[in-house]
Amino acid sequence: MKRLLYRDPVTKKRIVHEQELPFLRKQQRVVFGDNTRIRPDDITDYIAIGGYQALRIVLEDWTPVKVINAIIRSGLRGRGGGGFPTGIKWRSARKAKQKEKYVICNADEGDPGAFMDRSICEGNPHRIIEGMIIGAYAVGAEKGYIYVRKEYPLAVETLSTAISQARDCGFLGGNILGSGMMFDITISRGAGAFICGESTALMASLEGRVGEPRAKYIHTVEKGLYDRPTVLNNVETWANVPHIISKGVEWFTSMGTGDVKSDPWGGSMGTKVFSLVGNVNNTGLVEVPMGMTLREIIFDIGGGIPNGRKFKAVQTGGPSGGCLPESMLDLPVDFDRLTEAGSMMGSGGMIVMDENTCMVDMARYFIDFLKDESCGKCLPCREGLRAILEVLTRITEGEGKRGDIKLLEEISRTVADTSLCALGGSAPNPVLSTIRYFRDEYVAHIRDKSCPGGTCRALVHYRVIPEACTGCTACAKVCPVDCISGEKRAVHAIDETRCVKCGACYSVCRFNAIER
Amino acid sequence: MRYTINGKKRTARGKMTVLEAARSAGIDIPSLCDNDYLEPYGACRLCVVEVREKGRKGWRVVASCLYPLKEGLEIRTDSKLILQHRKLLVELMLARCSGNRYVRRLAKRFGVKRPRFGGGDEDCIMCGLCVRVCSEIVGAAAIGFSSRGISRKVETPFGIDSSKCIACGACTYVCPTGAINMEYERVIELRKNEKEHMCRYTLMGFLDEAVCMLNYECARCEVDQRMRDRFDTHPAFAMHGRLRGAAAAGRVKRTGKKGVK
Repeated sequence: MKRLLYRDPVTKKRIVHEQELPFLRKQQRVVFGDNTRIRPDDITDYIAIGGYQALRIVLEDWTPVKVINAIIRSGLRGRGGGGFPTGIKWRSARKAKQKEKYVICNADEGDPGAFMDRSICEGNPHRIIEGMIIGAYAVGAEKGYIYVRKEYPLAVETLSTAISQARDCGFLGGNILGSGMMFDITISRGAGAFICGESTALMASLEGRVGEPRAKYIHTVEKGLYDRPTVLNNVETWANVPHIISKGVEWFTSMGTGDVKSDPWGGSMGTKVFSLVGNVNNTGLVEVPMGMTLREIIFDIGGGIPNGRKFKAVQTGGPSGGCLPESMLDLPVDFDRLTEAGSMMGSGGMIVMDENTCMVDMARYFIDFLKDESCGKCLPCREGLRAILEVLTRITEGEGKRGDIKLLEEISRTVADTSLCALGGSAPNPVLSTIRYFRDEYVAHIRDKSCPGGTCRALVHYRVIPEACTGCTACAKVCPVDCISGEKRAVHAIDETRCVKCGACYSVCRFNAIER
Repeated sequence: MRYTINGKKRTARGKMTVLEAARSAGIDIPSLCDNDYLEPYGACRLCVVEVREKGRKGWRVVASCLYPLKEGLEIRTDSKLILQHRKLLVELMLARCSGNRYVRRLAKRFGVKRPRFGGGDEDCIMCGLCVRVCSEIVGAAAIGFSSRGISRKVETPFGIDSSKCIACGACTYVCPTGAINMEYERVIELRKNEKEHMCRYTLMGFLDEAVCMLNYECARCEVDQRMRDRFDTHPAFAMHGRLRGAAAAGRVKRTGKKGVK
């Protein structure tokens, strides 16, 4: 049996218990740890592990103000990316004068490579529902919506089942747990626009209008859905609420950084789920306490970079986040530190890149994505991203001009400052952060016409190193355009005029005799 | 409400936006998507200003057409940063509409000679005035936006001939760049289809019944001509009479005799 056990790649030891896995050892799975313990389509499983107890406590003994104060003291901040203190948001919504109020769960997870909300929706839907009921009780809402993207059919299904089961058990509906509270949840499916994850665009979409953001100078807690006070929180934020109530504020504040006793903005408490992807050995969802360093996440949990390559950068916060270099690896991950470093928490995407990644091309890729997903309402985001993309493409194709870096910075600043919503406001982050930390790569592209990452085709040249070539003919065999010539056991040569720069020879050579 | 604009202290009464406050103070802020009759939209961003709220440290760049005036607000409309932003925004607009004479004139005013990046040769600047006039004032909602990002465009639903259009011409009237034009086919169609003699004033909901014998030949209509002479604007605006916010204070001439439903 022992031979079937997982072997630690570093210590070569067999691991007996799941918790001893290096991937899990440093994690603290508060939000989605229960996913493995329950069947998502059965409410009794959730109740058996203590589910809906927080709701019972709240409805029996707590006043709405007490709930809000507890959430404020816990220092819970919006997990969708903004990091706004949840309790403060609830308090403003409670104070808003209009009687009809709404709570919304934002499950329109659109970041490429991010799937933390999905895992909670599909694995533990009742935790979200319980959180929403508690929130509705606190702000005085009678109607809730879960806006989930249509690309998550299983999430829609599990959530629908969960809602009807909760209704049957008296957790939703006219008289919740005999307290007289009224609240019900409707599922609304998004049609796949990235921008609909932005709160005001989401509300417009919920109302049946085109998903376009509006200015938030008047906050949504005062005028949100149907111009009524609305509390919108991310899936992960809602899922944290029942825990804070049942396990206590002290338990929650025992994890995290900073101090939120006097100032809810003063720190980041609790855990955060990250979606660790890219050039890293262990990919997957990772839940760690706030304040863990990037190094611990990438090297201890993620197991480092595969194929013995070197770490180059990590992109946090999804497409509009920033890239952080090796020198920032000891940065504690929380809302404020990441923002200071020119990146952001975002919804928790974490893309690790190794030395064979070109940072200019990376920025170009994300701007390309954002350009497509911009709604097009306001000029700087619509036209500015196109202009940035044009300059970046020019640089990666070897046509970069002197002054391009300055031009990029200039457009980026205007786009960030003058855009209508947070998409435009944060869209230049990939450009600005790569210029900040990897300026030399931009210079290499523009001045030296070379690509240090070796991915920009127009700038890569393949050459045989005569001293290292053994004449094994492996490269000549694999070349799709037959541009490598040379006899057996003689030094080969690449005909650059015919080379299509596919890199096949580079990866097939066992003697590192091909350089680029 | 007391506020400071470009260092000058002023007071204002009632709800208004920063743009309206600035204009009432005689300070010109450029804007393209703002219209006295329409809800603020905030698409062109030319009207950006810097504001600092009472008790806050930092300055924020906001769109003045949307930002509500608050007690103790400090406003800077022509700081170096704002002028830089505006110039670049105009440059981006020129890149998009490189051949449009109105945009070129605007660019010249801002000192932009040639955009440093490509774009296209469109006429539409996506200010959304036509779409908003059609739904907010005329009530026909015959055009809207389709697609997103740079492929966004103004279109009839599904891009097919719309029976909702009443050929009132309000959209062509309000378009700042001459990008939207009336197709005469629609007028011919309206003439054919309507059993009775219709008039655009009726279709816009301003008159209960039409007695027009000209059958949509508004150019020959004496009433229309007189309306135009008197109000110097499109009938949709002249008859609508629902001016928004501070603009209602008397910038546009209005008469008691409205003849509105």
